[in-house]
Amino acid sequence: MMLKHKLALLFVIFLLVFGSLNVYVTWREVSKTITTEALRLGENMGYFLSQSLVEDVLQNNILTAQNKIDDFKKSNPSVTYVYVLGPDGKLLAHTFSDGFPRRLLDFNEPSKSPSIQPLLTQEGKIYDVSLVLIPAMGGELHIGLREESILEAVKSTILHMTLFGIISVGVGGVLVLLSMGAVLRPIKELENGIRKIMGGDYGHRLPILSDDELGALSRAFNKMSEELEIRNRQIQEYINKLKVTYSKLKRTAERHKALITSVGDGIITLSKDGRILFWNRSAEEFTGIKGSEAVGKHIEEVLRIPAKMDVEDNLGVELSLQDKKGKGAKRVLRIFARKLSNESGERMIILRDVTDEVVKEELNKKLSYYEQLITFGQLAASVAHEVNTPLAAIMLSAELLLLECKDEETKTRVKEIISKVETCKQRIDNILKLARTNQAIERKLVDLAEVIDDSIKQCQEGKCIMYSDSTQILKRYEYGRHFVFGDPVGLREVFENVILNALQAMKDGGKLEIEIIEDREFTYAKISDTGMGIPEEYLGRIFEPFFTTKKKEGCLGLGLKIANAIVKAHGGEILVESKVGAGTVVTIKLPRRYL
Amino acid sequence: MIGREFIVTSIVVLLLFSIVFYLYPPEIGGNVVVVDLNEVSDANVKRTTSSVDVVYFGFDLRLGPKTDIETYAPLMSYLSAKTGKQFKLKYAETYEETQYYLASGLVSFAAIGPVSYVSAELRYGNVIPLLVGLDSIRSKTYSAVIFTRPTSDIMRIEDLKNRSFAFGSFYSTQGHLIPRIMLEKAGIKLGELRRYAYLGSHLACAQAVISGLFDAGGMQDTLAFTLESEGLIRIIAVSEPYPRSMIAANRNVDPDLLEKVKISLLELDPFGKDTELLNWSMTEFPGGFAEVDPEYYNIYFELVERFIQGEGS
Repeated sequence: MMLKHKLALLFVIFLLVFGSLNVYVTWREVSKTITTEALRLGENMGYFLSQSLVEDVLQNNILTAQNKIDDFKKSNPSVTYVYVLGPDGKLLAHTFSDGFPRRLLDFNEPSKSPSIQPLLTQEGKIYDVSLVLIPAMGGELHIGLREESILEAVKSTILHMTLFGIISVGVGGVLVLLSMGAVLRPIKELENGIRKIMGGDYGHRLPILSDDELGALSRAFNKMSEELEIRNRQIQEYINKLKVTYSKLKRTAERHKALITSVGDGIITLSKDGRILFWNRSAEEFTGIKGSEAVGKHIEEVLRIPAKMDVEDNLGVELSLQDKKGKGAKRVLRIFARKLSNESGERMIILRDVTDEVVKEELNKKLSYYEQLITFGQLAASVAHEVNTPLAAIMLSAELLLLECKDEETKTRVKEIISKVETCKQRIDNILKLARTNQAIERKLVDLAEVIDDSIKQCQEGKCIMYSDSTQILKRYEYGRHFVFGDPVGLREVFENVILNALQAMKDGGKLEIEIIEDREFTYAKISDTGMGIPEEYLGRIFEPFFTTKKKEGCLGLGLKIANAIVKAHGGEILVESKVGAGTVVTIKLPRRYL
Repeated sequence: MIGREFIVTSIVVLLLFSIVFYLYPPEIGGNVVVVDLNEVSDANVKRTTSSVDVVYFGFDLRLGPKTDIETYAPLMSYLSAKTGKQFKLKYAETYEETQYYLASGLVSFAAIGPVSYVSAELRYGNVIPLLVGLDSIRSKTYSAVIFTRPTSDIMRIEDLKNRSFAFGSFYSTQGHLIPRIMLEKAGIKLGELRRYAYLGSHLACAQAVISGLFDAGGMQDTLAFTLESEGLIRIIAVSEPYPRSMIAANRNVDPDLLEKVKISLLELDPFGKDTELLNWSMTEFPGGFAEVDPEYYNIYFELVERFIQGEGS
């Protein structure tokens, strides 16, 4: 809605409100005037009449009083009736020719002052004005006044007030219409000025048409447009500078992007909540995941990297990844995290390919280990040779002494010497065997069933002193079906060790089950017992040299170490599963062919 | 244009308002009631108003019915406000009527002169003086005067032999009893007057003398001094002081009401807060009221028996 329409609407609202108020006030005033006029008229008329009636009423001159009120009515055409009541309330005189309408006494009993009561009668509307006839004694004088006579007095007043109201509103309305154009002109100028400023014409100025508030508004507008012109110039200069800076920054950013994209490390940037913001080409190469797929996802959905990885962890976390097709060698990545911005909480994840370093390190470790083993083998062979010679001499001398000796006590002691020497020899043999496993083995086609049967037999015949007769042995293999390329002596040593351990685990009897199965590449000899099982904390240490839980039984802790060394020398491995109280399953995995 | 349409509409609305207002003017004086003027009856038409708590107050006619009523009316309003009862004046055409009304209880209180009091007490009993009226110097006594026209050749009371003489009311103390005493003291009996008459009030007496109907007259001192100061009369003799008029009461009036009226009248201060209440100078008590013993009026009993009852009877 236009301002002029608003002003007009406002004017109309004011006009209606104040016009209605004016009508209401006029109504009230006229009503009051009519009432006052009626009372005044009645009082004026009645006062002199009542004064003249007092003596008559007091002295009970009814006829005189009647004559007086009759004369009064005749001389006043506006009077419809007059009646007089005495101090005792009794009707004394009236002007009704056909008798007194007694219902009139039901209304308008005067108090101290004159009172008025409009009555609707057959003769039209009548205003009954009543006065106290005699103060402090009572008596009433009632005068009935015709409505026309009262309205006649105030009609001209109403007419004048109405005409004056209409003329005032009309003149006011015309003046407002005429003055609206003059009032609105500066506002139109202001509107045009604002449009020009909006169109970029900052040099536009308004004419100052007056010194009032609108003039002040025009001056303020001109001041504002001057300020805008200056600010616009400054902004343009600033924008030009920004453009130059932006161009430089853009080139720098492009260089940095190319650098980051082509760098050998994988670079990933993360938002504060771990969402991937950037994913460079090396990261794509390491993970096999395209940047377009990774960006926007949470890092934990893409890589097994803790989202809140310590950004100060300079050592990094290593992660092994298969290449994208799951073939080929594993890639080892070292992960570093850095803060990018304290304010935004963004972080950078760096993926560095350390596969070559790790492989090199492992090779160095192996090399060092093999060198130690060779040295140990050579030392062991030398020691064994040096010790075996005197042991053989002791053995021979002891056996001769046993043959010659008659004394039983001496015989017992000599036997003890022989037993101890045999133990020493056996242990030296073991050390020699361990040393030999590091040497190249001679291989030939071996029937694994035969080797296992020989091993069982060996264990049953003497090696196992704790073997229980109630132990049941189940063989699930056949001769002539399971061949491997290997050293039969070494393999027998392997199975003897494993089976011996199984039997020792079942001191109170149990079930030993041996099964041979094979796939395309390997033959698996699975030896299961129902013995006591191996505690979990020992499982990782059973192949360590000199680790044993049977020291009391005189075990050295080299059996499984030797067996593992022999199997590894064959290109296989020993797998152990065990549960305390349920038993142990040892699987000896050997390649079917000589590689 | 919308603005002009609104203005024109508003002017039309205002115009319609005015026309409706002019054609149908507002009701005045409260709600209109319908009255059938043909429903008539002249027999025993009377407004029935409750008379409970109305106390009637009588008075001796002094200056004429209208003047006396106008004088006493504000006092009735005052007593109504003070006692919670509605006090109304009871008009009596004669002193005897007033005495009868008071003694019989038709009025409970009355402003009367000593003669009326003594006459009522002698004739009916049952009347007690409640308070004595005071004059402007707060005196409990008043006097009567004998006066003539300023141009009269009568200079002394003794000059009144064979002259006409006007009295006020027959039962008026100042208008009859005291002038009779004054005449008797001067050796003039009623029979020695050429003619005499009882004109009913002091004012009527004064008018009769001033107009030349009578050669001299007897009346109350206050009004006489006022008329003399205006040059209308000449006072030739002033009586001795006698106990003033009173407010008398019927003996059977409720003692509480009696006490309330007594206290209310004693509280009046014509020279202070109540100056505007009454036209005090027109009353028998321009100085207010004072308590009084009934014995104070004993002097009048013998005089009333001799001058009033003797002749009145």
